[in-house]
Amino acid sequence: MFGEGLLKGLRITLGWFFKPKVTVQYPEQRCPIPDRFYGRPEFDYDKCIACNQCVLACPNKVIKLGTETVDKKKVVTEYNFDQQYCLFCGLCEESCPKDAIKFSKDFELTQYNRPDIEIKFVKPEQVEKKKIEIKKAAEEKAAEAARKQAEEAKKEGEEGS
Amino acid sequence: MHRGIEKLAESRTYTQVIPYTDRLDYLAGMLMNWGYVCAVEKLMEIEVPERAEYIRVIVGELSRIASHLVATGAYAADVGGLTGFIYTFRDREEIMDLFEMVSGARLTPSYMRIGGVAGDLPEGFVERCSKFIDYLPTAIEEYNGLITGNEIFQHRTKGVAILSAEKAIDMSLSGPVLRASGVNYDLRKARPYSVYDRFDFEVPLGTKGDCFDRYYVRILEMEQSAKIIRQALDNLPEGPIKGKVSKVIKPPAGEVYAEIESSKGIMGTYVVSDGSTKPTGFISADLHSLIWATWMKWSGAGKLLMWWQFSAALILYLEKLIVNPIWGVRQGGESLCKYCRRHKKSAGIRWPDRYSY
Amino acid sequence: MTGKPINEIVEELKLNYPLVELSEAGQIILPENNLRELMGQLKDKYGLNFLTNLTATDYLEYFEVIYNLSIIGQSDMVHVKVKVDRNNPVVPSMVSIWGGAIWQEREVYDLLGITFTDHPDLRRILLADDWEGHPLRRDYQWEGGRD
Repeated sequence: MFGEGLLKGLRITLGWFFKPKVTVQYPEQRCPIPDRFYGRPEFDYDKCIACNQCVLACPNKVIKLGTETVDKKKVVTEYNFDQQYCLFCGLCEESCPKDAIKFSKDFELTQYNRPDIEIKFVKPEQVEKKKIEIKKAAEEKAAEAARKQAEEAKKEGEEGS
Repeated sequence: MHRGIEKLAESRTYTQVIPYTDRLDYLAGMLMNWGYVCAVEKLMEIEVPERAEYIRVIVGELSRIASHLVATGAYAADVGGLTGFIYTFRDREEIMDLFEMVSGARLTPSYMRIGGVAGDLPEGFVERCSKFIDYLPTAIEEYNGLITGNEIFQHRTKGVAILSAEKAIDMSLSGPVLRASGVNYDLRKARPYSVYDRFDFEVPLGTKGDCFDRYYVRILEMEQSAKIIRQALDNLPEGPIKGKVSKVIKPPAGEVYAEIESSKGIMGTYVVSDGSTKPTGFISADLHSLIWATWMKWSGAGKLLMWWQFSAALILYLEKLIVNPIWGVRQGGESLCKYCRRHKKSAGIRWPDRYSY
Repeated sequence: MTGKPINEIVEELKLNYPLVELSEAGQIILPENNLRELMGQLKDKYGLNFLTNLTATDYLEYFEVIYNLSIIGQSDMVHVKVKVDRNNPVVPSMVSIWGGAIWQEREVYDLLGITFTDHPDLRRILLADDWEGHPLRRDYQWEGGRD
């Protein structure tokens, strides 16, 4: 009979009136997000060793890494992540040997202004702190070496006398 | 879809091209990844571990189901049945969630790597996937009730845009469009790549080659894909997920062409290497049949468009007959039909030409 | 049932056309001058009725047009290559043999600027009609973008 298929379809849709909803009321209710999700990137300043691997791995030149050498040690002075070009492929995370770059589960990345899209991870005070730390460590090391040298000289002097 | 990735690939390393292949066909990103890595593996003669191959089959077939769900649902929506579209998208969502679990992204997974896959299946994936496969037959039953069995849908698709087998072969069509014309050519059977020779499945074929066959072949293919996934999940071996590949991928100079059966037809990748870390020649993704499939779909919709025009004309006519006289009387006895040149002359108003029929 | 092995095809073709070659990687290299005749033979005599891919590559000194042929329902695949002069890139069109070549040849024409003679409708397919140059040539320069 013509119309039988139509009625069958209507019966299916009618059936769904009495079944639980499959949709979610988004801002209030949220679906669980799996661990591997690529959301907003996160950068751990202290873990980064400025090896440049993530910059080389990125297919779209999203990451800009700036370094400065202080006492033969590399200090990250700039780590800019230009999200508007990011493909969220995770190749930077995969290449990082120290897990310094990671992706969080935050997926609401919209910004009102275009310049806000680029994330500047490194703050100047962080760099200053790191530099001071390195200098301090170097000074301590130098002091240690000097002390040792003095001790050795003293020893030699004692032996000599 | 053409996005100039051939040119982009020239300035990127072999691994860096993978995220771009996702975007060739974002409805079946996994299959596009597969087509590309398959070619590079063939060029470098890398042996892919068995577990990786099985994972590829699972995600690839899920991708095929997802793509066919869009094809069938959107087709139903295009010919006037939006309900079917919403039901197919409901189930596609489950596949997208599975992809999110496994790769961290829904449409653009970038999951495959040269020599294997990016990560092992996460905890709970196998259970959730098999639950979905168990559920799929009931869903297909619903689609058949909502779309396939619907008389209006059948009326608008049966006998429309018939494509003969000879014409389909001559025009280099592949995939479901070719098989709907009754040509048995599925690379998974004809030239089994990966581990497809280990699975038991059939290739559904159409008989007439009309729009309805092209639709229904996809529904049947989803059933077969589910069958493959079930077998792959049951026989999933343990082991490594990545073959022995050095971190810097540097294939020997040469060229290679590899093909896989994507959801929309044959996906061929042609890679030329000059021996450095970057591909010299361009990779050509042969999604030719996809364009043709859409074209065929539109020519099939020709009849429908006529019907639309007819119904629009009918509504206008009714408006002219019933609404305007009443409106017109109230406006002072003049007919104010804004769609019809004759009336606007009588009304003494000059309408721009774009309103005239 | 499968088609003839490639080396047999090449041996047979060599009898009449001495310029036909078989490369180390198992690809047939055809001469440009009687290409359509040879392709017609490949289709009619050896049953290669399905053109899966038609593309071209820029090697800076010359172009190479690549045809991938297979037989419907079988596992055979034949890789056919033709060398084209870079300064005068003209190849006979294959549309009369495989209808599917029509858009693929337009794509090659659009992106690499190889002209196909006797093509029924040789226009740009992807880029705008007034676009200058052919982007997939390796010496193509484009100002702008991020790089």
